Amino acid sequence: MELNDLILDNSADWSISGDMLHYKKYVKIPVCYIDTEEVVYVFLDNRIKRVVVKLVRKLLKMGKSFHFAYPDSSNPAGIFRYQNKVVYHYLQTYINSDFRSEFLKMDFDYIGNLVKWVQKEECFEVLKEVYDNLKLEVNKQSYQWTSGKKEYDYVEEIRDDYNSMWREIQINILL
Amino acid sequence: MRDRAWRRHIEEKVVLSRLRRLQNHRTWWHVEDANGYWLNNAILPDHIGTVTAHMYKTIKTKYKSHKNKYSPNKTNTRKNSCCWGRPGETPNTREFQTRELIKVKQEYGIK
Repeated sequence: MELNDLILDNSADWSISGDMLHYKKYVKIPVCYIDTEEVVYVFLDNRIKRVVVKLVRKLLKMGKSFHFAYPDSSNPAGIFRYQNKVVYHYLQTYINSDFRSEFLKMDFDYIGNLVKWVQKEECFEVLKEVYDNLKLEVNKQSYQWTSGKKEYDYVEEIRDDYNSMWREIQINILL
Repeated sequence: MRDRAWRRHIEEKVVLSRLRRLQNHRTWWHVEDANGYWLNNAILPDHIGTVTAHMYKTIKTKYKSHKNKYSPNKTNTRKNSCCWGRPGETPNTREFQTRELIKVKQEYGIK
């Protein structure tokens, strides 16, 4: 498989420089690269949401194995502590961005993909640590004296999803 | 020549120039990028897709429901705003010439 096969349309916005596929949105933004083991690494970037979602749909159709990476890892300066960063980016985008709803629409097992990557890298402790740190942020609440109610930073749906995510991770590991 | 692709190209140029200005102003400020990370020294691509997109993009708002098409003769640039009054009234522009042509055609009864 080559990077040329992953180009989505005939527009002039696509380019390949080095080992990476780029998409032009005012400037060239890295989209994905292929590993030596023929595994595609897609940058989960909010700047090019539509392109990433389309690419994931294409990769699922093709039946290729792929994982996600954080955008800074395209830069050599951002490789330090990459396991922490990748796991954090996986979970953080799941909570904050529109990727969650898009992946739910296409029946893509996002958490299963994360678990596969963790098993490949053998960094289960990192996942646990990052998950626990983010859990505090997701369940953060403040008391409003005017209304006399508690207010959460995140919506109830996301909080429930996140709190039950650990069970899902363990099931994925067992399977 | 001045089709949609040209207008898009010019719009991109305008956005990039605004982004460059924004980047120069905020070099020492913490900037939140589109992925939710706070950066100390943000570079140009970090500003794309952020919450502050209205600062560099021409967008629709509740006060302004349409987006103007870019045209150098219609917009109030330095060239047009000096002595010829309203933009588009400069004699050597496409808009002015078409207006003149229509008048001539109407005189001869063509249009």
